[in-house]
Amino acid sequence: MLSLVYRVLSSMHLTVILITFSILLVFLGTLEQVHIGIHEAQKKYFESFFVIWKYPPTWYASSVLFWLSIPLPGGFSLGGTLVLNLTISHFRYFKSSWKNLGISITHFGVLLLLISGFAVSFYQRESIMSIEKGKSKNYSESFYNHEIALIDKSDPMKDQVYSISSDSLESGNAISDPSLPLSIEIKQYHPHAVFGSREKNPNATSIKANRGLGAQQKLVFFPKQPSYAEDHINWPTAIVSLWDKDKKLGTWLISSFLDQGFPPQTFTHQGKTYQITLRSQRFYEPYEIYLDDIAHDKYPGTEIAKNFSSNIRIQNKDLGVNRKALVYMNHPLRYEGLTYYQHQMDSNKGVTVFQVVRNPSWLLPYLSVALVGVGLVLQFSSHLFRFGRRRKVL
Amino acid sequence: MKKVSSIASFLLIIVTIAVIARSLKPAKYQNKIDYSLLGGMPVQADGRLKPLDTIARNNLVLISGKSTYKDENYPGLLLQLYRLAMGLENPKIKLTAIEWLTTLIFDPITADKMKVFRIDHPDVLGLFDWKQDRKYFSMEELIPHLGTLESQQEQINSEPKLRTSFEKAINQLYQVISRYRALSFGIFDPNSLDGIETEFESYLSCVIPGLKAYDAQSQNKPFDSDALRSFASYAERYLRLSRLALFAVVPSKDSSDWNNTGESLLRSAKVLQIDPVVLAWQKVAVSYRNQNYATMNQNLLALKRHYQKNMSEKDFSHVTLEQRFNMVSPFTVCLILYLVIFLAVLLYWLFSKEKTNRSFLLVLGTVFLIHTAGLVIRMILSGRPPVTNLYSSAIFVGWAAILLGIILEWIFRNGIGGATAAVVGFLSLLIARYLELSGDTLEMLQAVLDTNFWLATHVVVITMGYSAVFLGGFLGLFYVFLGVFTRRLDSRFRQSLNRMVYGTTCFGLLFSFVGTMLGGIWADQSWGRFWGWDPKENGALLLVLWGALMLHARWGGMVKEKGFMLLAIGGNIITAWSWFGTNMLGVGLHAYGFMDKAFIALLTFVFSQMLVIGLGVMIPRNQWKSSNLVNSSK
Repeated sequence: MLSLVYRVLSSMHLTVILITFSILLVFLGTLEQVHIGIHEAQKKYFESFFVIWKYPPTWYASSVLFWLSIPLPGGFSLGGTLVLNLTISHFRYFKSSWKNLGISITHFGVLLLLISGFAVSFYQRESIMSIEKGKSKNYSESFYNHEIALIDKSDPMKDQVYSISSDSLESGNAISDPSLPLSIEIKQYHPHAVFGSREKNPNATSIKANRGLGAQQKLVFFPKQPSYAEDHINWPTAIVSLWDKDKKLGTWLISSFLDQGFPPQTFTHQGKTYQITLRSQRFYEPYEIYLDDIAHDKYPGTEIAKNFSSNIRIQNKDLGVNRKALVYMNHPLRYEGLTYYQHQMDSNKGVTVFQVVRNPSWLLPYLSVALVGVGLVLQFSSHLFRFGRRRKVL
Repeated sequence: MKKVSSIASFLLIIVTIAVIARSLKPAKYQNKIDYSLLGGMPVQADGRLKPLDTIARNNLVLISGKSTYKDENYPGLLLQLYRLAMGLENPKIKLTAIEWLTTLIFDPITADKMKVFRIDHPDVLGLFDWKQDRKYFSMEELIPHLGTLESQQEQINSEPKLRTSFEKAINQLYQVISRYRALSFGIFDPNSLDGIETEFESYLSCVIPGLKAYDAQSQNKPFDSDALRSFASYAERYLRLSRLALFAVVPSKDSSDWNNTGESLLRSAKVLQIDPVVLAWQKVAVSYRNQNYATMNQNLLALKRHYQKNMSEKDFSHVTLEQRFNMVSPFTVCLILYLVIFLAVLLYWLFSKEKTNRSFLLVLGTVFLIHTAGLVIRMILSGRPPVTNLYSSAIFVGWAAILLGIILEWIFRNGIGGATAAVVGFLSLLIARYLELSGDTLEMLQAVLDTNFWLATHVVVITMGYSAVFLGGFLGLFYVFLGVFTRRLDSRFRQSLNRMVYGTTCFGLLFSFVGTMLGGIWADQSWGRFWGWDPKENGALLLVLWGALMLHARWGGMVKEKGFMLLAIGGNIITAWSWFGTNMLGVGLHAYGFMDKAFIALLTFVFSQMLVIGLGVMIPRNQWKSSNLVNSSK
C-alpha cells in the first residue's frame, strides 16, 4: 500500500495529470476574471483547494449549456501535490550524475517557485496610500478589506484608534475585548449598499439607528450584491450598537460611503470624545511620508502620459531619519520592509497615490528563476551537444 | 533539378532587389507634383515627428481600410493589362495616400467626391437608405445624413464593452468622419482656401485696428466696430483651426511642442508677422490651386530647406528615413516573398526528392535580411527595442520564426524548416497588416511601459518563445498533412520533423519560461508583485505549462511521435490564446486593446487547429497515405 502511494506520488504520469489540471485551472480562472475580477478569481481558483467552474450565463447558448460545470482541484491542492511529486520523484529517479544536473537544478528552481507562491499568498499585503501635495500620511489603506474604527479623540495630540478587521464583520457578531473601551454589536452588515435620500425614496425601509447620521432619517440605503469588477467600488455598510458593559449607548449607521464626504460621527461618553466609522482597513507605520511635489510628464503635443513622479520625504522620528526620495514609474522606493510604487496621480488636485506592498519573500522568485533558467540551458544544450555529435557520427 | 532551383532562386533575388530599388528611385517630375517631396514634410502628431506621408497612410487606412484610393471605375488587373497591350492609357483614378491627403487639404471639394468611407454594416447602410451593393461612399454622399448619424451617435451605450455591433459601427463611422474633418483642417481652413493668396496680408492689416478697437471697447470708449468685427472673425477662425487640426506643421524655437497653423496664426497677432513656415505652406497651396506644379515643386523644395534649417539633424533624418521606409514597405515585400518561398518549396517537393541546396537558404536569407532591415529601421525611428505593441510583436514573431527556420534549414537541409518558417512568417506579417488598420504603429508608449530595459528583455524573450512554439506547431501541421494526404512522410522526413519539433519545444519552453519570469521581475520592480494572475501573465504561464506537459509526456513515454506532433499543434492554440486571446478579455494591466473581428479570427484558428488534431487522432496511422512508410521505418 505504502509502496503504491510512493509509486503514484513519484510518477511522471501524475506530473502530466497535475500539469493538465493546472492548464485547465489557469485557463478557466482567467475566463472567470471577466465576471468576478482578478482579485476574486485569484482567491477562488488559485488560492483554494477546490473549485467548480460553471458555464457563464452571459455566454453564447447559455440557456442550453447552463448545466455545464467543471470541478477542479484549486491552486493550493495542485501546488501542494506538485511539491510532493517533485520531491518524491527526485528520490526515486534521479541519481546524481552530470547528465541529470540540468533537470535537477530546474526542478529545484520550480520547487522554490511553488514555495514562493505559497509564501506570497500568505505574507504579501497590498495597500494604497494617497497623499495630497504638502501633506503627509503615516498609514496606507487596504484595496479590498474594511474595518470598523472606534477612535478616541480625547488627546488633541494623538488619536487612539481601535479597529475591528474585516474577518469579524458579519451580521450578528458581537465583539467585546478587554482592549476595547466599548463593546460592539454588529446588528446588520452588508458588503455593499447604495445610498439615496429619504425625500426621493419615501417608501424605503427606515434605518434602525438612533444615533448619528442614521438617526436623522434623511438617508436611505439599499443593500446590493458586491461586485469585484474593475472600476467598481463596494460600499460596505453596517448598523452597530455600542455597549459599555451592560449599558447600551445607542445604535449607529456606519458605511465606507459615509466615511468619505460626510461629517465624522462623534459622540461623548464618560468625558471622552469618540468617533465611529466603517472605512478601508488602515495599516499604520511608525513614520510619516510627506509629499513635496508631483510631476506628470506628457509626450509633446498630446495627452499621453510619459511619466508620473513624486518627490517625497520620509520622516522617522524613532530612527532619526529625515530624507528625500523620488518615486516614479518603474522606480519604487523600498523602505522598512515596504515598497512604495507610483500607482496613480491626479495632478489637478495635487494628489499622488502609491501602491504599498509588503512582501518579505520577494527575493525567492529571483533565486528560483535564475535556477530554472540555468537548469534549462544546461539540459537543452546537453541535448543539442549530443545531437550534434550523433550527426557527425552519421 | 538543382540547376533549375538555383536559377529560380537567383532570379527571385534579382527581381526583389530591382523592386526595392525602383520604389526608392525618385520619379521625374516636370509638370507633375513631386509627391515624394511633399510626403517627406515633417509634422508632429501623436507625440512624435513623422513625415506627412505617414499621416496620409495611417488615416486613409483608418477611413477606408486601404492604403491607396481607387475609384470604383478603376479597371481590374486584366483590363489594365489589356489597355496596356492595346496602347490605351489607363484612366488615372488611383491615388496614393499622400495624393489623396493633398487633395483633401488643398482642394477639399474634389476630395469630398472621392468614395473613401468604407461602410460595411448593413444596418448603418439601411439607416441612410442605402443598398448593400457597394462599400465605399464619399463625403458628399454622407453630408445629408450627418444629422441622422449624430442623433444615433448620441444614443449609443456609453460603456464601450456593452455596445452592440450596430452601435460600434455607428461610433466608428462617427469617429472616422470627425477624423476626416480634422484632416481637412490639417494646414488651412478648408473654407478659406479660395482667398488663401491674400488671406494673411489682410489678417495682419486688421490686427492693429482690431486690437485698438477691442481696447477701446473694453474701456467703454467709442470704437470702430467694423475693425473689431473683421479681426474677431479671423481670430475665431484660427481658434477653430487650432482646435481641429490633427497635426502640427510649425516647428517651435523654444519647445519640443510644435504649433499647428491655427496656433501659429494666433501668435502672429502679437508679433505682427506670419511664421515663414506658414507662408511657405501658403505658397504651396496657391501654386497647387493654380495648377502651377513646377512652381509648386520649387515652393516645396524651399519649404523642405526651411524645415531642415529649423530641426535637429537627427529629427530630420528620422523623418526622411520613415518616408523611405513607407515607400519600400519592406514588410509587404517580405509578406509576398514568404508566400513565394513556401509555394516554391511545395513545387520542389513535387518534382524532386533531393535535399534542398544552398540557393534556397540564400533566398530565405535575403528575405530575412529585408525583414531585419525593416525591424531595425523601426527600432531607429522609435528609439525602442523591437517589440512595443501588438503590431510590432507580430512583425517580431515572424522575424524570430524565420531566424529559427534558417537554423533548422541549415541543419536538416530538407526544406521543411524553411518552408514552415515561411508560413509562420507569412501569417504573422498578414496579422500585422490587419493590426495596422488601427492607426500609427509607432505610437508612443504608456508611462508604465516606458522602460527600454524590460521591453528589450522580457518582451523580446517571450515573443521569441511564441515564435518557437508556433514553428513547432506548424511543423506538427506539416507532419499530419504530409502523412495523411501524401506519400512524402518517409522515415527521413519523420525523423527530422520529430527532432525539429523536439528542438523547437525545448527552445520554446526555455524562452517562454525565462520571458515570463523576466516579466515577473519587471512587475516586481514596477508594481510590487512578482505575479498578479493578470490574464496576459496567465497566458504566458499556460505556454510554459504546455511546454512542460509536452516534454514530460514525451520523456515519460506517454506519447509517441504522433502524439508529440499533435501536442505541438495544440501549442498553436495556447500561443494564439496567450498572444491575442488574453487581450480580448479586457481585464488587467496588459489589456491594451479589445478587438471584435479578431475574436472571430481567433476562434476560427483554434477550431482549425482542433480539426487537424482531431484528424490526427481519428484516422489510424495505417490509413494515412504515408502509412506503409510509417510502418516500415519503425
